[in-house]
Amino acid sequence: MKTKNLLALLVAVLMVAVLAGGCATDGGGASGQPSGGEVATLKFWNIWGGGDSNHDAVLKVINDFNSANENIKVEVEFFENEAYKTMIRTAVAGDEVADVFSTWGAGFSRGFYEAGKLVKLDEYLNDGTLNKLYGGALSYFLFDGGTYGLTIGRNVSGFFVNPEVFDRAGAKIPATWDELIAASAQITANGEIPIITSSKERWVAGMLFEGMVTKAVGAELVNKTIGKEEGGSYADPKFLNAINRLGELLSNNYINSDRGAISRDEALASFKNGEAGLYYMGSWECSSVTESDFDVDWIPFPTIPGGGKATDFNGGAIDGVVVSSTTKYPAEAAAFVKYFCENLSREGDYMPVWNTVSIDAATRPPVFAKIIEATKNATDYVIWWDTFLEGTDVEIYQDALDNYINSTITAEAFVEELKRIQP
Amino acid sequence: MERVMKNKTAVVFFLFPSFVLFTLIIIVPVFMSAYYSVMDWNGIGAKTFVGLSNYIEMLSDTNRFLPAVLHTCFFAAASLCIQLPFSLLLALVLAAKVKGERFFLTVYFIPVVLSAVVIGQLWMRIYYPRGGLLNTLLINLGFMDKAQPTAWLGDIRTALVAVTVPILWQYVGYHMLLYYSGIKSISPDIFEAARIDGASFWQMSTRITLPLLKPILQVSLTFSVIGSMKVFDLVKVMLSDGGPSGSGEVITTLLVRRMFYPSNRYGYGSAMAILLIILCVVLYQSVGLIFRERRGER
Repeated sequence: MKTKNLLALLVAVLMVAVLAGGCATDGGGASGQPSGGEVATLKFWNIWGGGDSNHDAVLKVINDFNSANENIKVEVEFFENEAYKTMIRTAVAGDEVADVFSTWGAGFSRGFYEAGKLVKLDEYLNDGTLNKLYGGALSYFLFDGGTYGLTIGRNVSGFFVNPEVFDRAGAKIPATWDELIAASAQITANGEIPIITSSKERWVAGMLFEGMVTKAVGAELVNKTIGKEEGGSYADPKFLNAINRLGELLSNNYINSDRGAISRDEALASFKNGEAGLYYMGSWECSSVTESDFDVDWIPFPTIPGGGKATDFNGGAIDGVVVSSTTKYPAEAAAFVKYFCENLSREGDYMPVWNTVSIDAATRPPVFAKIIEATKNATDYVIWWDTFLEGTDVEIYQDALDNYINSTITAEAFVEELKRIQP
Repeated sequence: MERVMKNKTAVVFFLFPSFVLFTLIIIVPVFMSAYYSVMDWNGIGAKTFVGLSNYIEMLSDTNRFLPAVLHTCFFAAASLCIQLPFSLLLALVLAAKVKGERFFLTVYFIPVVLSAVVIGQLWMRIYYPRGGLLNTLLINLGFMDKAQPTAWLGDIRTALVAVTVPILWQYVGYHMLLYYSGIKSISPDIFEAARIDGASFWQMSTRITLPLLKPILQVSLTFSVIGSMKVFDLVKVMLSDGGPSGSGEVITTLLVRRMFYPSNRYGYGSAMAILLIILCVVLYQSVGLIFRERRGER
């Protein structure tokens, strides 16, 4: 009996001790400051995994940060890009997200902000950080006047060019729409593919289409239209013009006919194998395309008569890093975000938005330097529609584009669908 | 055992844990989905009550949702008309003491144990437009123009059928094993008696095996129909975003795209989930009813 009582007492003491221990940890965390020798461990989720061209740079920046900061330890976890877009929302909604995570600005992160899931960073940025950024760099992470994330840099989309395909066909690398059509005809006649893309993954073909719209309509009007601002309308005939030009490329088989069956990875592999003249993608692909056997060139989408300026581009500083409101160490997390974004901007494949960063062209793929040069005098940018638009609007846009690419609706019906996005 | 069953407290005691688990894991989420389905909600922010408008929108969506329901039914029909008869035939042949019975049994069952991603990748290589196995074969046999290879998974006309084949192929072994074990459990005396009476293989199959196999047939039919409703993984792997113009879209893939990225409409996605649950329950009951009636006739 005595032993039994003793055992019961022991168990009770143990349980109380465990409870007390749990409370103590919680209490310590609530203070938000790692005390004395305590190390603040920050979990960092992002999309720059093994296959990404920024992977090594990301690891280097994190390691540098960890060695420079003894009382902060960043633990990194990588995720696949497409799966991450679904996973991160669920994790944020369930308050089970990492302290710091990568995300996309504008529409993608607006929901996080509205639900109060992000830490407002303004108070941590007054140490001169804001002065290190070019004007407008944070526009996609500003919600109701507050800054909720930092960006690493700008991405720009354009055509990666395989000059050998053009040479074989005796075609000229195009700067205008007519030259694009002429070159495409020559390359097709030569039995090769002028433009390669994937409509199996909708955002890839979407990017190509959006590049075309920017040049056919002009960045200013496109921004007004997708932003649902005064003066913007899909009913403007320039939008129909853009769609018809996509139709021209499709009906002449200037875009690979198996686009619906191949993924972006396969389109990229095909381009790197020298099977196509042009591959439209974001500048993050620089390191990857440079692995091909030919000297990759880069051009913006050719100009379209009556449309936008040659210096209007698609892209923006939409890739960023935010701090979760569930973190126990907001100050440490903000410090890491500042360090990470500025330094990845230096090390990774991004067009600089940090004025402290000067890109050493010699250490970069030549095509990267080319994009920086080409976008030096950029007049305006249009962000990718699928990151900017929200909810039903993305559905309508992507479904309509997919239907048009597969010839199940006409250009006019496509415009009618887009008009449904308008308020 | 009987004494335990008579003791009501014992019955409740033993059933209670699983009842709690079942309620927490199945019943509660279903009711939560039903609640979300009448809300306009992006999954994170505030919810707005919208009544049945999610259901109305869903049932009047002739562009994506209704075709997705049709495609799902197509899978079920293909499974019923092709997969099950084929599996049954294989089982009948194998159970008739074929040489290398064990070997064939294992071979037919291999696809069942492979993950959908592996099978998806495998079949994508077969269907690959440039240099894929199928196109190479067709070109060499002279059935296809080399300059215009078919993009099986990227063509509106072929995407659905192309993705149906591996789905049927994968589970043939599963249904075959069900039938096989069912046939093996029939007493050999019956077959022996029939053989003495001069019955042929065909007669034995249709007059003895099939009637005695009815309970297994019901199980297999239920799995096949409900499985078709829930098909997701292979379609997702092979067609990514529902195939060209949604020509291979099924309810589950559409549900995921509407509920999560890019639409983030949890309320609308939940309405689809509720409809899927209703569909599964109705089909399950129908299969049960058909077999009950049959048994009644007998």
